Amino acid sequence: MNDTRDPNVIIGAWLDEGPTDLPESTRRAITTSVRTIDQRRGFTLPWTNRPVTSWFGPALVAAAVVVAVAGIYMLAPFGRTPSVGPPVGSPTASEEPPATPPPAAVGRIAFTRYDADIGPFGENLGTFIVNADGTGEQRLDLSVASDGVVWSPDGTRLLLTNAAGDGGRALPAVANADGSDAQVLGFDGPFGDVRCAAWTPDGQRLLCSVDARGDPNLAGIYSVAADGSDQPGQRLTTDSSVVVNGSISKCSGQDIPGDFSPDGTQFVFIRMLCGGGEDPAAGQTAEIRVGTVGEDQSVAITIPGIAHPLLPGARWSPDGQWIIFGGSSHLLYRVRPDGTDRQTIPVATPSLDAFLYRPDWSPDGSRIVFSMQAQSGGETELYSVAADGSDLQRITQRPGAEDYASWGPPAP
Amino acid sequence: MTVGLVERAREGDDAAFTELVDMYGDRCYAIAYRILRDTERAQDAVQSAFLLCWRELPKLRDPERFSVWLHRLVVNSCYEEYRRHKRWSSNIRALPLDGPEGPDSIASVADRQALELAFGQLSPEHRAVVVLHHHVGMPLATIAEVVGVPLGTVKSRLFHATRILRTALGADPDTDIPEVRSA
Repeated sequence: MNDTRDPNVIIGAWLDEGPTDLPESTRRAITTSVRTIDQRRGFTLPWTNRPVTSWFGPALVAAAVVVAVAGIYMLAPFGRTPSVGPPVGSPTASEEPPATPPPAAVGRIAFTRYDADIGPFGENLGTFIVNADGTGEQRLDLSVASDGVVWSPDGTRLLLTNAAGDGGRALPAVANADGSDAQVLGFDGPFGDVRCAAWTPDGQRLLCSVDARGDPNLAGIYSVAADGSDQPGQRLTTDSSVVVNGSISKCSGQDIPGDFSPDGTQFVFIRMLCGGGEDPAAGQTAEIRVGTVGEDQSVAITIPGIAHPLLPGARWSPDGQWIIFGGSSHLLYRVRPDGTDRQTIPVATPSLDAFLYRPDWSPDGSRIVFSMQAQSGGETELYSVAADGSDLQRITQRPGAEDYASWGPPAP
Repeated sequence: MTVGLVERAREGDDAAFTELVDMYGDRCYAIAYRILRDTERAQDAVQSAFLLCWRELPKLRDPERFSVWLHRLVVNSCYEEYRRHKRWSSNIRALPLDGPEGPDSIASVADRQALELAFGQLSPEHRAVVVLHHHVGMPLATIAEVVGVPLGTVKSRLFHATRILRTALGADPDTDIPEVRSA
């Protein structure tokens, strides 16, 4: 095929056409105007001739102290010190080898690969399965495109979390483990995007967020039959739809599904919270919450700001003891389901600005898979570590950004 | 260097702010034009965004975040401009057919007509993601921060918008062209 007829190349070329230089008249208008606009830095007391921020200056100082303390609180592991070995790559790793060998990476990892330059259409992009040791990668031939994938507990089916729906909606689909027979769950009625993230332990139901196109009486987290027979299913959260309007931005709070507990009686999810002031979207934070199926209430297990507002992921360990998630500090955390004992997972990253997100447990809970951009602007690949953060192993090697890793059992 | 300029501008140094306008103005204008497909409205959007930037700059806590923050202001300003214009304008507008066409042009006149029509069906939210991705080459995670939605939503918007544009080019002939609304 001639590259110049590649639709994506044509789209890119078309977008590149047109003006790129800000007209001088507009530039002048901006720079002239700023000299006449008060930058809101307060006023000058006539008797001191000293600028002050505002009458609530002391309150701002106090707020700054709170922010600083919160920052320390966020970045430092707290609670009981995790009993972990030295991370691979740390100065002590070679001096003091672990007494027991690290757990083996067993099973299959499903993931999506996306290329920022190509999009999801190329032959080497889409939904993939790879052995947990990085061997045997294969691309699934799916009849529906999706940018997220989750193994069913028994490893026989795949949840496609964000399949292409009608009218541009995101809808879930369920397919066989080899990608065949993908069925989109239609969600007729007043529903917008429906995104699912987890299966119940028995594989019968899915944990989903339902966007009811602005109707607060319908939006929330739902438990939905995996065969789509009881849409929209059982509503699990009812208090997520908070809309904050500011003069700069508008922010809509929402709940993002995480995972069911191993016994299926509880679920973890991420609540996106709006900031205040004129730009509430800029101040968006997230908190991890745990709810009980059948009870219309949930409790926060992290304070706002710990979890990454956009890429947290939240997965329940197979033994039920921990919930793991990606933090706004770009590190991985684990926390008890009751909110105690939060700890960073001490991964020996290649650089200080590495970005780790969207983790998942291996079926036996001994290891964790996650996406990592090893350095700012670099490639995003899948890696795994032992549950204590040691034994960092790279799983994927090819171009493109790997995301939505889901660790399933070995092939039968 | 940028951080130093932002810090100075944050303290009210309008000369430093002028340097920031020089550094970022062209890029912001290119983005605004491609979202709005109109030079005058793009100029208005960029001017509004920079004036808001100047006014709100003292509140920006982390100068390292200036670029993302400024892009957010520009995109939001485009949304406002789009909706303000849509309230009183008709949907009929001339197609820009006077662009380059010849041996060096990848997009033919027919391609550009088809893309212009298809792009016109996209919401400003979908347009922004397409422009930031295909034109600016911004990483998707950064786009998510700029437009203030989860990464999954960015991917979803990009997927659907790109599919519509590809369909317009006849690349995906089995796909209808639905009207994409704001997510």
